[in-house]
Amino acid sequence: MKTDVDGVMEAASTAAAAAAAVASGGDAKGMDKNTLVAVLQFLNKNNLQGAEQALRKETGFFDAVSAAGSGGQASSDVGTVLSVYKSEGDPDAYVSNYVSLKAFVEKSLDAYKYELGQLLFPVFVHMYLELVFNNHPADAEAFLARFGPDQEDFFQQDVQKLSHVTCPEHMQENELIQQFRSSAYTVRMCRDSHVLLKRHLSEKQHSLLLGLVQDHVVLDVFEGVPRSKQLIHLTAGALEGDPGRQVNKTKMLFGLLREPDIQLTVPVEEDDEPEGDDKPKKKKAKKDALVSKKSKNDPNAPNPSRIPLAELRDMDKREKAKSLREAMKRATLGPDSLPSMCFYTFLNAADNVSCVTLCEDSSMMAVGFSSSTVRVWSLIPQKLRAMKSADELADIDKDADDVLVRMMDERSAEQSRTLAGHSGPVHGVSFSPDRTLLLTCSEDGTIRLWSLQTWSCLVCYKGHVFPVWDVRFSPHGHYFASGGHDRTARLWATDHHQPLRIFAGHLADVDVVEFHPNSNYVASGSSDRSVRVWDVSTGSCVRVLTGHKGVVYAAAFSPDGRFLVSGGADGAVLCWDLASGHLTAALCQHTDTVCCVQFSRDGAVLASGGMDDCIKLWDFQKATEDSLAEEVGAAQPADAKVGAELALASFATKHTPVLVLHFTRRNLLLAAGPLQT
Amino acid sequence: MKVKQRRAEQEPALAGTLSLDSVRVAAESVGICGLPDDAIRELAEDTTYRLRQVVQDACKFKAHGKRKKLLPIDFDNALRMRNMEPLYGVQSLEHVPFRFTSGGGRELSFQDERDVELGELVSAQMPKAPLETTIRVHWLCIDGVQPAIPENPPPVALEHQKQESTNPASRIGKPPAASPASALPTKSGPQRAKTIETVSVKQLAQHELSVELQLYYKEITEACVGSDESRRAEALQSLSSDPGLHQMLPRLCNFIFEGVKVNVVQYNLALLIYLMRMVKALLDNQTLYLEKYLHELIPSVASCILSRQLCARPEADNHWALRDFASRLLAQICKNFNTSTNNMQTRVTRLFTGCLRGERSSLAATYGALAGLSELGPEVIKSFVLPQVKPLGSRLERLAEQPVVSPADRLATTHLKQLFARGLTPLLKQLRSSPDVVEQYQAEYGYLGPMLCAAVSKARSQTAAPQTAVSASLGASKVAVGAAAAAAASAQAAPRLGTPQRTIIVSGSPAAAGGSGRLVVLGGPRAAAPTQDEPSS
Repeated sequence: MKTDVDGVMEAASTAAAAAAAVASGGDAKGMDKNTLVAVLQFLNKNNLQGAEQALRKETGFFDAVSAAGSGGQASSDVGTVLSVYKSEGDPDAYVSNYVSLKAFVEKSLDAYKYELGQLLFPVFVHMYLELVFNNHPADAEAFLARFGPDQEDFFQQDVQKLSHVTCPEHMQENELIQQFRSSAYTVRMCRDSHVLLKRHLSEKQHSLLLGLVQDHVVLDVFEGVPRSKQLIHLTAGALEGDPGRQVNKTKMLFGLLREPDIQLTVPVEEDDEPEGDDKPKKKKAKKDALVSKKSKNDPNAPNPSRIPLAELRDMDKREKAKSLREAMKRATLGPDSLPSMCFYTFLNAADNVSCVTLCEDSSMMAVGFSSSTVRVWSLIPQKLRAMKSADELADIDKDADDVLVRMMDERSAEQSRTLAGHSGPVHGVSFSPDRTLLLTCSEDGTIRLWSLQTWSCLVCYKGHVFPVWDVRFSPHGHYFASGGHDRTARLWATDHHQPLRIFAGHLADVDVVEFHPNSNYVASGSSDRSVRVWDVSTGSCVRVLTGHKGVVYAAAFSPDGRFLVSGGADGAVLCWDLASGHLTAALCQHTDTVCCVQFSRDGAVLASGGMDDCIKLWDFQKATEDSLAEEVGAAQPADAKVGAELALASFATKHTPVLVLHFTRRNLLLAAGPLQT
Repeated sequence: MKVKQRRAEQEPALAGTLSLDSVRVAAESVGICGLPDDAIRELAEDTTYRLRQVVQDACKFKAHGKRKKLLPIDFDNALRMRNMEPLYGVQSLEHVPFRFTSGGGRELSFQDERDVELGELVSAQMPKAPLETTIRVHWLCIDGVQPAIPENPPPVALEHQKQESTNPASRIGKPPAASPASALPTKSGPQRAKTIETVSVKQLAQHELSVELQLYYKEITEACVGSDESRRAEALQSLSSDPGLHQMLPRLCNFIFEGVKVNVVQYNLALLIYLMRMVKALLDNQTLYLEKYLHELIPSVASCILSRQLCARPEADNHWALRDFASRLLAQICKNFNTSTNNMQTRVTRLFTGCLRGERSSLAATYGALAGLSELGPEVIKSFVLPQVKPLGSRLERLAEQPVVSPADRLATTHLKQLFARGLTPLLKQLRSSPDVVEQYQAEYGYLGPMLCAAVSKARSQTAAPQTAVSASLGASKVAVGAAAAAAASAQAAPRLGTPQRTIIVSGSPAAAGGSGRLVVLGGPRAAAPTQDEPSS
């Protein structure tokens, strides 16, 4: 049974890789080696020789890969991959080799020490695996016991997982081992460090060490001064090591799409009629500023037709206008004017609530329960109504102005409604922007689309075979993204039952997905402790952001689209500049998992909440002023700011983890969580 | 097996493996006997590995369920994810129904499976449906300031208050911004620190009350002693649950102190009762630490117990209830705040005993002292009340033999007798073995003997059947309370005997004051049997 599962998993990820590669249009330069290799393998496996040869010929890439000696990672056949570990080496040699490497690192100059120190973990892992593979369980255990505690804190989890693997049979199916073998660990170091390392390896005649480093570690050498300890520490932690230098070079179109022109003047004037003469003028000026800002051509914005988006309906336009009107009334937030917070506590729900979300205009809240149900509450006096039956609908005058209101059945109005259909805990919920649809995903491997007018399930999307951890509607509707235990993030359209894109590349579960405000990118956070940003149009990975020391559970884009913020099990909230891919701020004051991060509507304040029963506010303007001043594409990242100076305030709740944060259009902060008893 | 594994997760790497015995038993339970050791070892290793994998996966479900506790359901989901049949019937949220046993050289965890009678199941009452999930809304903060309402955590944590009152030095040298109390936004650290440096000395106590709090104080005190019963209930509710009161404690305690002082003299029973209810509410408030104000509270409460006269018409008014209520309060205070340094219980006990022994004290005061002592637990009753039964009995006897008895005294006699019966019966029931012979009681307890004998034998006949269960369930709390009494007694005895002093603290949250007392023993080797070193006075 186990192998079945693994087979499915394998097939899913190779197929995913294939899809990703196809999506990228066969552009060999933009692809990373692994993807290509995976595609070749997939073709090979399924006996598609013609295609395989064609691809080989066209790319001229595979030969180079195998020549580079990393062919070991190429094959997906477990036996052959693991045979890389085969050696007749004396088990004692591992200890002496590791000790010598450690001594070398410790003795080298402070400037190079930390860069070289990054090598220790991958070497440690692969030495241990070799020992296990070659049937030296006692030596392996001793090795782990001796050097395991030396590894960085954030690797201890991996060390513990490694310790579970004690015989070669276990290696074949272990998730972590698969991760280690399927991707080389990348270590970035400057040229000087690299030279030092090469000299050490060749001088000491450590063939074992040399082989290990050659086989399993990719040394990404750059010119310039070595990186500081702090910098290395901030970006370290991911399962795959540092992202390669070239990975984050792709240009990202993070600007916002041009807002459609909406006739605002009429409704605004109507609203303001009762007021005095001065006020309307003032507001008009403000509105003009808002509109002109939006309509200015942003050089970083993608072409509006880069991905096809649905035409705006009259209803959407009205909604947009309403939203803009609200936005004018919103409170300006900053260090001196903190927001008010309203907390929704779920009672009698301890251990049952697993996800919460609010819709954009804060009128509804949807809660996913471990008991497989989803419940939607109305947060405004207007109750939740269902649509009339077909017979009654036929009687309605379709040309009436209030046809939408007439469609709904007043008698069915309720404060909250329950949606039942999933067969496992619901892990993600998301409202569509027009508030007529709701997406939910569950442990049962499905994503369901519900109508909030008929209160029934419309579609069941079956693509992920394993539990789906998160689902998110695009801010423009129509598209949605999901991520799950099968290590892929997927892009869907509501009218297709198959995914449009499969984003494969994470080495472990994808725990959170988030759409960029311009709908052209999807960010995904994963158990491999990295955050990736994917291009919806090409399906390729455009950013790999490492620095989290634990699983990433929350992500949010800043309203201007330039920054990404992520929070994880390590309690850290990290802010990334998408233009350069650099870390701009590390806010580490939470003491437990960060469950949610959210920007105020104007982007000035960042709020984060977590399992430590606490909501923290951060001065995001200050966090980003350096990055905004700096030229895009600076070679070395500016020093990331740390938490203390940016913290604005911290508000504790009473035994209530914070599962969701949401700023209303007027910048009131809403939060929700279940009371723990 | 699962239990073991769960424990292993918390410990560092390499802890916890499946024991060979477990595997052997598991094999035997499916009918495979005589497995060779090698096979068992192999199986144990492999099963351990697989269990670890499943636990790892289960932790994922725990994290996505936004929980801190791993539940059996997570385990089931992890098994389902691996395409394995989940374990059915292990659904409890709170505990895993595995029991531990050892015997025959084996240590086992097993699941206790009982046969379920279907008929019983059908006829049994339906279990209570779980409550529906509801939403409650409150302001977590308003313009950056957290309001002090019950829904929010207290502005000053209980621990902090406690530390402040037990170790006042802890405040010195700490900048106010660093205190966990400051819910106010801390503006950029270094600059703020600079401005603080110019302030040379900071007053330790903060006495400013905001206008809102002053208004609140006025409202609360008026409501508590006013005539409107519903308002009083609201006010007391607020006192017992609102988290932001700690700044007002000095005022409130002073109000109670002064109130009792005045009203005790004026025999104003109703007001005294209202004030005691305020004390009760403050004691019940989980966010307050009252130790700093006990010097005002204890005299007030003790006055309400021991005063010669508490009401204008002693023959008619029910001041006995006030004395009982105040006694319970004092017992609760003793239980919550007794430490080795303040020796509170010892002092309280001494106060009561003095009053009880005094020949000249009024019957009402004697009643109070007796009530106070009987609330302090069986050990106290045994050592301080029991010896007094005979002298007190003879006093009552003399009173009864007088030709003219005032109605107040007659009433007092009845109440005292009732109290004796109520307080002593449970203890005597345990101390003395049945049958209860009237003559023996008479010999030992004098005038009150026959009455006690009747009460004890009545109690015995009532509880004959369910006795075992009751005494077992009462055991825990009895030990705790008894230990406290012993502590008081031994503390008294310590200087005399020259033995090293031991500290026994009976702690318990104010809310749980009635029930689950916890026994904490600091120092002193003989912690197990605190009843042994009881003074034979």
